[in-house]
Amino acid sequence: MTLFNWILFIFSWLLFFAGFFVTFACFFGFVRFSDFFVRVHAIKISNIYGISFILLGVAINSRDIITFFQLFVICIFNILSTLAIIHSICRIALNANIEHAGISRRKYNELIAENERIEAEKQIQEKINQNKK
Amino acid sequence: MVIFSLVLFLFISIINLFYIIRSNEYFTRILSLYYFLMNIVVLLLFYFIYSNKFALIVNIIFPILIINMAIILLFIKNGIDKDDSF
Repeated sequence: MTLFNWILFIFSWLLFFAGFFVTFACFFGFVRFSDFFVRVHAIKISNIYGISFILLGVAINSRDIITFFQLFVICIFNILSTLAIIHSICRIALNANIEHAGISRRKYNELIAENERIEAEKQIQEKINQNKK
Repeated sequence: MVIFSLVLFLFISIINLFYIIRSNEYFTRILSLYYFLMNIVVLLLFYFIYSNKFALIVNIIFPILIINMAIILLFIKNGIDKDDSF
């Protein structure tokens, strides 16, 4: 093996181990986390980084230009489809008031509105006090 | 390399199958379904690489990837249409 082949070999195994670790860690994240949006994040990372790294590692290790090109296209398509699906699932879950960190979107908006009302009341009270002086 | 990947994705797919069957929440079920289908696709892909059937990658994996995306989007759309709480 030439030096270039050795570099490719080591690089492909490094990519593979990185992908393997990310996929495994994200899978445990998916199983262990209770929050829906954190689970979504775990799956997103697993699909975008984990599977892509493994695919790229196998593609480099194959040393066949056609296989490399096929796996590269699958990798790109995997990333794009994951982004589209995760975005649509998250948007619909947000609109369906799925709780994130114990707070749903509706509750969050109510809290923000309440906070703004309190701030506005404070400002009005300050102006009244200034006028009195 | 390919065998390690096959074992990993098979393990994840089986656990996800239990999640799809046992989960009560609609969104968790859909999420598990997507994760399961994606892992099955990659599992098939690695099986074809392992058995040197490279021609099947284009014939089978690419359509399955598109069908996977369509299935999830259709499930989401139907779930929204049927459920009044949305």
